[in-house]
Amino acid sequence: MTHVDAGHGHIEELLAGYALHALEGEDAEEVERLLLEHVPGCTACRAALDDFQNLTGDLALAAPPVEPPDLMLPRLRRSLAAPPVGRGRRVAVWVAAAAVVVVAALSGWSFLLNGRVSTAERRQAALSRMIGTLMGENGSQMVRLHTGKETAPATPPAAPAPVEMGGPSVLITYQPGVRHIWFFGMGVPQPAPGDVYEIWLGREGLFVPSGRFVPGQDGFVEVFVAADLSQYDEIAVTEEPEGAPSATPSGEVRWDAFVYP
Amino acid sequence: MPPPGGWLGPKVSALALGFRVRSEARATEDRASDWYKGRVREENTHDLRLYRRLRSRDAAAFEELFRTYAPAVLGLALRVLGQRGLAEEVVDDTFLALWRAPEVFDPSRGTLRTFVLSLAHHRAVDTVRREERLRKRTANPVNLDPCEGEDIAEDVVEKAWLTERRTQVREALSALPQEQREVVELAYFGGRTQVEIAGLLSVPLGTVKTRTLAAMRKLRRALEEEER
Repeated sequence: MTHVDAGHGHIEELLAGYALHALEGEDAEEVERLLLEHVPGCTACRAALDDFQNLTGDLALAAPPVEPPDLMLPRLRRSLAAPPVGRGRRVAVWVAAAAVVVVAALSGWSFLLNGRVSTAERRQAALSRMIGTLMGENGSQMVRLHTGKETAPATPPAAPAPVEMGGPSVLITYQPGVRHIWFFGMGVPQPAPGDVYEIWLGREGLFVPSGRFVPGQDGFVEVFVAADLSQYDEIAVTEEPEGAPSATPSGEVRWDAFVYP
Repeated sequence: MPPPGGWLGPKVSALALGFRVRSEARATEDRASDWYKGRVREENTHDLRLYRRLRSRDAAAFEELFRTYAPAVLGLALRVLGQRGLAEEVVDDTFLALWRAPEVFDPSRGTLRTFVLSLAHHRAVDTVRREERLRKRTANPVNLDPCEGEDIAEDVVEKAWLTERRTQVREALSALPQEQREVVELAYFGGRTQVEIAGLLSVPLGTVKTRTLAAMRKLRRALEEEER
């Protein structure tokens, strides 16, 4: 059993509600922030979250089991080989926690909480990181995201898509096999009032929520996602309502890119 | 070289060294607990083997996973949704999600069993929230009595384990004070948010949170003790 000290009582309360999938409003926002900023670095909170998540799995056994219909397994078996219909926006949920997605945004949520970082400082730091990723580390790759939903080509494109001059520029850098993705945006417009942007990592139509952000007033975005992009085949950004975390991409796809091994 | 705890033995050494040794004793207990947890997880070789085979895209592993857990997943989904068609969709979604992205399960953080069921629970609650019309149904607390014919779909090995665990979970839920059990059941099986539960029970949101945490701590403790 995990013991969480009294100072963490409030967090543990939120984690319990989160594991039950029972939070909304400010509580949902707060736990989302904690999952991104505090829990990954706090052994006690990580253990408490794991304990509660496992407990919510066990609670299912309180319901009587029901034998599935005979045709269900053969139907599913046929689905295994078939590609996802229309690249459906299904999400493997066990939480942001399962993907262990950590977002450290100098713009967006964290920046709102830490206004001490000046625009110039964060830009400089972000550009240094981007250049360092591209030039200093073996195997680094860059992917430019297209505006709107991309149609998956049958084969990887021979050359990168042309840069759209004048519009927002959104790209990521990553190293295959390393749980580091840097997400950069320049000239990114503010989302509609009451909305935020949400990053999704997808594989064969399954999407995992991987962080939310709101660009700075200058349209600059830098988000770190602790995930290995080579495990996925698509990255997308949607506009989602602020508040309770989205379980599935429900809003308009603003940027999208397919990732090829 | 002196034995662990010194030549005078751990008790005398503890008296002599005071707080530092007590701290070490606590640390030893923590390590023992960690060791125990690790051992429990190691014993779950069936699920780990299954997981590895799933990651290697072994269709037979998928079928084994389905046969092992589909009855529990369907039972849960039916309890949350109260509608067979939607519940079967949750089963489909849960197992296909695992097939398509098995790497979202992290064996170091729990068992495949609890992961599968937790995933199914999230899907069922997401579905019930989308289907607003289902909100018209009355709150339906879980029936903790064993059902006739349950476990029929599970093979012998899993049947024993799942049946035993099911009994433990039901006993742990039944042992909760009514007001704590109520908030957990409304959230878990009713798909209600804590804000909704506060409204339904006409109690402050803080009370719902406090009762929920107290219930979750008791359940966690009870089920961990059962595992020992």
